[in-house]
Amino acid sequence: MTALLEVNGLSVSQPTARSDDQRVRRRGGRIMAVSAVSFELAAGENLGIVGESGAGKSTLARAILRLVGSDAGEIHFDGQSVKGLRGPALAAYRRQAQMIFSDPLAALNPRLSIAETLAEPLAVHRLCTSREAASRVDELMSRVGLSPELRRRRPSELSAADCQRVSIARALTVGPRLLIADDAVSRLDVPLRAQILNLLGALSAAMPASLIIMARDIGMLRRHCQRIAVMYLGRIVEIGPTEEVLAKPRHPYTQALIASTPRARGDAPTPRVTLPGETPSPAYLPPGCAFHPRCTKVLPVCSAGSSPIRRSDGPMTVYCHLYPEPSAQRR
Amino acid sequence: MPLLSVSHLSVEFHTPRGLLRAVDDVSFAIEPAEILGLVGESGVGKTVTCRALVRLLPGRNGRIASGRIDFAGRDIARLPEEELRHYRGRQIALLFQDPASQLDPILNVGDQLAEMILLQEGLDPAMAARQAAALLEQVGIDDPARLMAAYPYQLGPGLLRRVAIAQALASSPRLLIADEPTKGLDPGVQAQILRLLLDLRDRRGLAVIMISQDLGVVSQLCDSAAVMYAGRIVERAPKGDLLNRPLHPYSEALAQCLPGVAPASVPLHEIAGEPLAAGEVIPGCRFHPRCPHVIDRCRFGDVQLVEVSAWRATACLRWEDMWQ
Amino acid sequence: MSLALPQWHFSPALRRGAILAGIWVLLVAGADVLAPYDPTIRSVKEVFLSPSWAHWFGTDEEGRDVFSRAIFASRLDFELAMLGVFPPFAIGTILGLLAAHGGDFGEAILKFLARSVGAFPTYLLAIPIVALVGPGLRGFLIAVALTGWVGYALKVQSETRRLKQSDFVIAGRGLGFGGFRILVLHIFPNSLLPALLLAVSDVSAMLLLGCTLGFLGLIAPAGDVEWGAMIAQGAANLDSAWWLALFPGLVVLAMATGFNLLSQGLAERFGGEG
Repeated sequence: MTALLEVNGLSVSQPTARSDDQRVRRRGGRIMAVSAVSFELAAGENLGIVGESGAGKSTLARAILRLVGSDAGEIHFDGQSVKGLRGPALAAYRRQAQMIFSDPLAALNPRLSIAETLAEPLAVHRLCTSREAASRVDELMSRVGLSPELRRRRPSELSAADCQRVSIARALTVGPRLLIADDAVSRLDVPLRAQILNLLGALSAAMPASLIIMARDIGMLRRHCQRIAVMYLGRIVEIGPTEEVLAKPRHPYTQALIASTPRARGDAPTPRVTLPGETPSPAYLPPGCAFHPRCTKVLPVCSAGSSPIRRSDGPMTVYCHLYPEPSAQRR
Repeated sequence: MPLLSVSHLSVEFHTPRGLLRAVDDVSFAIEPAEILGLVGESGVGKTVTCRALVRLLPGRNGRIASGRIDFAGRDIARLPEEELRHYRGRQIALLFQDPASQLDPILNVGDQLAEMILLQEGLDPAMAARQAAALLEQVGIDDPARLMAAYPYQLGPGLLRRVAIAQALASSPRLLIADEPTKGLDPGVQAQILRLLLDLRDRRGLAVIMISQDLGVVSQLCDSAAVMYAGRIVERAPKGDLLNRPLHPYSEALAQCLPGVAPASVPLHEIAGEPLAAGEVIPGCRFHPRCPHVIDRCRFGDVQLVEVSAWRATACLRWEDMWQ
Repeated sequence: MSLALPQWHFSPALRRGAILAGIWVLLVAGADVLAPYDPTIRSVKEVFLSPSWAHWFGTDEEGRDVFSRAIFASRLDFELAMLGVFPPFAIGTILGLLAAHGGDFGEAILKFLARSVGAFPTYLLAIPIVALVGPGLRGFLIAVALTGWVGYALKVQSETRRLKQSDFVIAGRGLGFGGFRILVLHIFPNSLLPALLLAVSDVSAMLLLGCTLGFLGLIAPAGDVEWGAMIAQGAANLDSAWWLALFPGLVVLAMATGFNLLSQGLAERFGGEG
């Protein structure tokens, strides 16, 4: 199976709005939001990316879609580098790769009705005649489970979950081969999350596109993703098959994340604090492994030198000093 | 004797479209050092119920239409405004959904807390500062001195929550009303805040009413839970029972739509249809248009909450079928 | 969780503002019917009559009814205030949009222009311009066009800048929409509301500016009735006939307050900042 998307050593820095911190200003007021991220996505595969706020998920999504520039690294889509794309070639790429935003209301133009929002990409890219547009809009709305009566409503007159359905429908207008859902459910009411998760699952089963689902809560991903990547402070710390990540997480951060996820069971354990403190801002990246100040299994090597390199442990790829060096493995 | 006992509480709002009954005949009680969860979707009346407990209804046109709110031997629903101030914010503290809105953006954390302490106890400023530091320690902050100089905008979401909790505790309340205290938090920070609330209950004997949409959170933290739908309580149960053996289809639906509960092979349960608008009244059980177990009987009359055992109550006519 | 109660009622500010603005429109439209006397008829017998049932606002030095004159004056002042809002609104909105579109460079140019114009008080700029172009409506419009755009431009520019970073604009880029399309169809309609709110409150500023220039004799030299000119006329006779200046002054105050309230009410209603 060839990879649809190949991300290699991608780093993205972002300007900070204001920074009274010396360390940040010295770097020209930029902070590293994504550092040396590499992964592959096969055609038709669903990848989950889990990380808390500030992990760099949104920036990664935007960098893949070329909505923000990147500092280093390569992105290949269908074997072709997307870095140098310009003009029509960039527009063509963007039509193949779409994203869904985390804030359902902000992602839609408040002045346009649902039908207008969905018809615009069809018209801009001449995907259908203006006579067909109305029926295409209806078809898209029914695909995402929106009642056709909502055609004339504006985003502010819809529930948050329905706004998210409109966002998904809008992404589908251009027939993408890659869909990135950037934390698409965390801002919805808890009982409504199931609707959007089910919709994403049903869509991914029905169409050949690949899906990247980003979430803060690893529980959201176990249903629809074949593989899960765990991000912390701009880096992927662990990536592997979903069941393996959930059953035998290798990285201490993944272990803590899974332990702190509430499970609704009658015998639900009392909440345990497995991640003390808060994720520091990416402006204050600790040296060495970025997770070491909060890690329970920290070794002397973790705080010194560079961040851990890629190691393999069974089906998993993990970036952690606890696991043997690749050379040691060969022996 | 319960610390707070609410009986037959109804709250009405005057609107241009007429009188809306946002909370309808709600009764529950909470013991000292108990944690009670109030669960339901948005708009079912959880927040209004809790605001009514301190008579701080949102908007100007709401009022308690009927019912009693007994707290420490007094009926809060009928207390004159000046006496109410001894309860509101002192004996009963409120924790708002958005901690940033609860804190004053131009005061640093130390002044913020000291202000509350000075207001209530008439100590001198140095004592108040010491007490503020002690409060911050109680909410799990290791380095209170440094935090006290910080301003709210400089704090992460978890610390902001903790400061808001410390502020609520400044008056040594006996009951804390927490409106979705973990909304929008990352799972790691959420666990910390839940743990903190549990610790405060254990150490100070604080009773907590926690509003939540997430049965997963409620099952971790609460001793018992009341499920609300369309302004009414539809089920009351100890926490384990609510998840293992719900006696109302709405509670069952709330549990089954959580990604962590059902097996990964089947789609998540979706609660069909829309909830009733605030104050909307329909004949029969209010959940019947969305209920998968609906029968003819559910569509008529007024379905009341019935006690089925000492600890449990349900408003489902078919609860005996659900029991099996 | 929030209370989803409909809030369709009008706020007090909106209601009062709308009533005052409505009265003004009524005066403009119905001056012929509402005025008890012909405002131009002079009567030697009735000079400097103090307010009475026959002459509510009294009469002036030529025996004209002040009440009727104040009603007819509403027309020219309405024209000044309403027309005066448009040139700054149009110029400011377009400049703000272009500046934000032009990135850092465009914004720097706008800041420079805004600071150059903003360095002078509006009145100080307007008076010589009107004097130069010649008194009357035309001079007034040119003066406000040159001085009044700054507020609109800065507001639209900051709004546009914010909208450029908003998710729905980024989504539009992701869907391959062109930059011009996004600016005109997505950003512009959404940055218009604050500018419109500013325009409503600007009506009262224009009225005050118009009256000031009128007071100085720079608006209605041909003898058209105008509130500012009436006040000037009254100011000359302040110790003998206080009503000449007082009543037109109160009318101007009421109308200016009306549009300020209207703008405040609309801002509350639509969630913008006034």
